[in-house]
Amino acid sequence: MSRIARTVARMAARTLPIGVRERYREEWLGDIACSREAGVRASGIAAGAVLFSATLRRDTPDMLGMPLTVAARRHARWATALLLSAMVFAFGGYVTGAFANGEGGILLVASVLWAALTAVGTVAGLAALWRAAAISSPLSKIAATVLTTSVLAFTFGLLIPSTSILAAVAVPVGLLLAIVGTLLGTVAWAGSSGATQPAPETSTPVVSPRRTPTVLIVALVVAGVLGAALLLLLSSGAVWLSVFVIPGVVLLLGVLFVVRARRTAHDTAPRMAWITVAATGALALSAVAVGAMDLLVWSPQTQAPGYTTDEIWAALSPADLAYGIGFAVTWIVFWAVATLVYVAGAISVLGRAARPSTRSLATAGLLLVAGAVFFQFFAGFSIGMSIADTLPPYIGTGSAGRAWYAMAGQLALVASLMLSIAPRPLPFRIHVTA
Amino acid sequence: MQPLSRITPATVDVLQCLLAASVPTWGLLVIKESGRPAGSVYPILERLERNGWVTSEWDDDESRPGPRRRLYELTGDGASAARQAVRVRPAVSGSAGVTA
Repeated sequence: MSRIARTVARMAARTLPIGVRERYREEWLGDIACSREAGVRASGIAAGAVLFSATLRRDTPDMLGMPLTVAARRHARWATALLLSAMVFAFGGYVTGAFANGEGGILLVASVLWAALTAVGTVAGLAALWRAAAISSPLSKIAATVLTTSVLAFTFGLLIPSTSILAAVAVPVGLLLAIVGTLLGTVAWAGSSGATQPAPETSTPVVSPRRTPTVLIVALVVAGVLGAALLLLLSSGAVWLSVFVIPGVVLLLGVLFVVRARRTAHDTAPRMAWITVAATGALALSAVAVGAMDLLVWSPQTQAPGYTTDEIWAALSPADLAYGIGFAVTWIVFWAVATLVYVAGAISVLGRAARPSTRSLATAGLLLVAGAVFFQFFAGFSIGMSIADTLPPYIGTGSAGRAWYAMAGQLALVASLMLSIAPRPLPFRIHVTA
Repeated sequence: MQPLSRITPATVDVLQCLLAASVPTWGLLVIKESGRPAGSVYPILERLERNGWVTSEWDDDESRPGPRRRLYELTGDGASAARQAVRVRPAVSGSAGVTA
């Protein structure tokens, strides 16, 4: 029984803020070790540990093991990463048709999964946002309120029929509030730059003061992208919103990576950095290879069933063929070269004392995958239109695997968002001084 | 030292145990002596410590193997406030607690 009690107590300690985690872990294990001789049931100690963890007030610097500002910034970074990820799943699912065309069994499961990930990301992101706001300035609470209202307006606008007047109002209002909330949150972040170092108990730097300009750049990019999306939405319809927001997120990540990559980091062994570059480089090249097959073989055959690729190319006019093949080959060459540049560039700096962190390298590699997959859709657009105009049954849809390909790209984008924006995990055990 | 927002009967029991001890007291003994469950005693001790009524430190007995014991002791002001809380206990017995 005491073994189970010890396990429960350890698990309860793991849920505590880092400032007191190790202290209570040892205290509870000490109590359990002597519970029999004291005549107290070990299970009671374990239950007490669980109840303690569930009811503990966590918003004090002693509990958090770091200044409130640092804790608030960590929560805010989680909120940003999670809400942007939810955006990728929501708009990515919309663009790829994962939500609309989920009639196939396994694709239906994927659609449900995408919808669930959108919901989880949104709820978890808002929770992190409010955890940050709860221990921050009144301005940050206003920003959190505006952003939460924005999410509610979006959700409302997407759930009701798109032809209704309410939907036409709710989505632009949601966008407008997202812009205002982002800018307010940025000002709140910049205003809290006083205490950015961790408490002495934790030796791991949690937030660098240099991050403030980064956040300003990111916030301006986000606000700019959302503002442009708002204009496009008002003028050209909802589909442009989806098309525009995702490249915007890619752009945002690019900015983040450039800023982060300048920093010296020795967070992991060089071997791990080598493995990261090799793995993400291979993944990006695989994305190019699969995308090329889809552009030149699988999608054309889906668009003109019963024809060989030679027959399809022969049926197209020289101009259509030149444009279609030209777009496809440009995409293949651009992303293959970009991947090789990434791998070569990474290899050239890996041996140096000042090199990008492994997280930065992974972010860049995954960003390449996401970018290649996203722009593959546009690379195939011209050839798809030409085939649909020339050969029966005159359909412009892509191959069956294109939805999976797009979803893999969205997963890569979300992974790079989490790696670049979410804070580094804190160590479980810390040195206890009292 | 900060006043407690509420003093429950369980809080009074814990304070009584701490007052009765002449030396810093082990948390497990407070659970045993007060007869209150650990799920009540641990949060109460944390609240008392956060508000400056008690201090705690690790047991420095290095001859004991395994995890160390955490010892609790009332501060000077905490002891005065605890005596008052224990003294008014009959008035709060059976109620949900009063503001200190």
